Amino acid sequence: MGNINIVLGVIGFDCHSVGNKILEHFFTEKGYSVHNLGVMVSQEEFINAAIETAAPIIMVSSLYGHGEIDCAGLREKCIEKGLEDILLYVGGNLVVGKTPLEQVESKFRKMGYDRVFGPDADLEAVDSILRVDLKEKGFSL
Amino acid sequence: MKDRVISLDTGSTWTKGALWSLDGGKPELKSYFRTPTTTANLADGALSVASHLCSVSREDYIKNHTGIPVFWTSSAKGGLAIAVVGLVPDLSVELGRLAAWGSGGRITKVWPWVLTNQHMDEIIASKPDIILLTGGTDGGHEKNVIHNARIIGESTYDASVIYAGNSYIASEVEKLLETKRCTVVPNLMPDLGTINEVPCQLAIRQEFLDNIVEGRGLLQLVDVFGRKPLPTPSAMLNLVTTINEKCPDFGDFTLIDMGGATTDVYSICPAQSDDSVILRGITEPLIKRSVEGDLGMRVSARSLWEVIVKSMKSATGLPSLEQLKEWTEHVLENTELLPVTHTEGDLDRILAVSALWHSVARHSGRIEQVWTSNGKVGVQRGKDLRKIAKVVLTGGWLARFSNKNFWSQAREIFGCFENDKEILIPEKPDVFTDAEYLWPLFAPLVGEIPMVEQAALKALIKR
Repeated sequence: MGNINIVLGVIGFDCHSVGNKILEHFFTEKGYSVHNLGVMVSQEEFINAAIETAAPIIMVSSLYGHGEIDCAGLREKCIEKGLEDILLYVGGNLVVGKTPLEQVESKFRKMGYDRVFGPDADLEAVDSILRVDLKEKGFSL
Repeated sequence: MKDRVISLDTGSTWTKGALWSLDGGKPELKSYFRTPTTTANLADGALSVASHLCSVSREDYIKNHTGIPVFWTSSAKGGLAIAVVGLVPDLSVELGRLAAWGSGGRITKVWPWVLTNQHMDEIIASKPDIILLTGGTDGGHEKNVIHNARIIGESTYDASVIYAGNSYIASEVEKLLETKRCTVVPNLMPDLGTINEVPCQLAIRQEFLDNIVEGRGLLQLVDVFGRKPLPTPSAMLNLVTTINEKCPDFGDFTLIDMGGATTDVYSICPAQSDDSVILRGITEPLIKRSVEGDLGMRVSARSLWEVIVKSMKSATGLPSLEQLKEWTEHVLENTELLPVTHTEGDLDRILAVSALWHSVARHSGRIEQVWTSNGKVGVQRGKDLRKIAKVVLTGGWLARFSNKNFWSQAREIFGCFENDKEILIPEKPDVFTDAEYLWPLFAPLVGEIPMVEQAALKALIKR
């Protein structure tokens, strides 16, 4: 079998592309097959890509403060499309202003995201968490 | 003796042929002949054309082959009928459609996601020659693709299947389809959103050559001509591709081939012409072909009329819609009819302008302007034809088309926006017509004799 597929992109009308490129490089280096949808990605595009690639995880970035609006409903749509087991990670400047990460995390957890990261998350730590989560889902790495 | 060759095209309304001399290196037209296609037995009309071009009787032509090579094409059975079964409509299914069109096919049915037996019955009822099964990137989705293969495998469908999906499960799919004629080719979408259409197109073309030329006298023609035909649209695609490769000075162009039943559009340009917009969805190929089955001058006149009525934004330059409606019903009854009076000419011209505009508009992508925190950004889907400087018109009607201002006229009637999205149609193209209607006869010669592409460009007249 090949590598584990990751679907990656920046959601909504957000065109911040630097962090997105860093994530693509980082996770490719780590041995994943990264399908980077780039910037301004709709929820449907994330889901469609995850279906075609059979990716066990979607990584959603949002930098421009509208994350809450853009990210709501993704989990429900995944369930509708038969992706009930998919991991959803979200990270970036998810809300406007200086809200403590715990509050942001609890908000996005309620929306169905498995992991929530701030703008200064350590990518090595994210990868370690991802490996644990994938193992739990039955993927051998 | 290859100082003279014949090219011939059969299957559409007219069976046409040309005799070419090759003295000067490139093909020079010596004579041209056409006759209405004999649909019951294509050999009848085709052999009349060939014998006429050689100035011998039909019997003599069949008995003593003249030695002049015949390169020929056929759009028999109204083109190659293909049903597409894939996974996600915007991804593998869309690429399946592009590949089917790009190999000269006509699409009979499209199913995404998961096939049921009922869907399968509908596919069989649409009578495809080929089912193109796609879905999943390499190492990607397996479950639904395997399910779809099983449904096809267990059905009563008895034509061929081409599998161009996730290559990791190719052997499993092949096994499920072992009772069918199944060809496995590399994945159409090995990676997300990228298209690898060539192997799939070659397989479709091979399928045409091996199994589809059997009916309606085509085998007799293979016997007499000593050569198998190419599907007509596939030969046209060869011509377009060769022009793109060997005549770079001609630049990007769009070719529109309009007939009584369908309008085919070919575009030769990169998917994106403006780097500042963001391209979403799949990146469409440099050479794209699309087929509009409801836009045509005769057989499809009624559906064309409906499209006109629904989409017109202004009635400037239009005759009364009642009159147009009457004319479409009239030509539908008499598909070989040509306009006689001035008014009929005008009515026919409006039909042609409308079919042209809509076929190119559907072929083209769209740009939507959205507001972001960084200002206004254009988001593009599909192919951007705006910068294309040349439009080439061929087909019986368009060959005679001399209306210089039709593009701006169509722009006025139909407008360049659809639900606030800009239609990425050529902005100000120069219009060239294949005035002697020779492109379908240049097409079979591509790859067989030199400099066909130069001769084809020389045959164009700038309007």
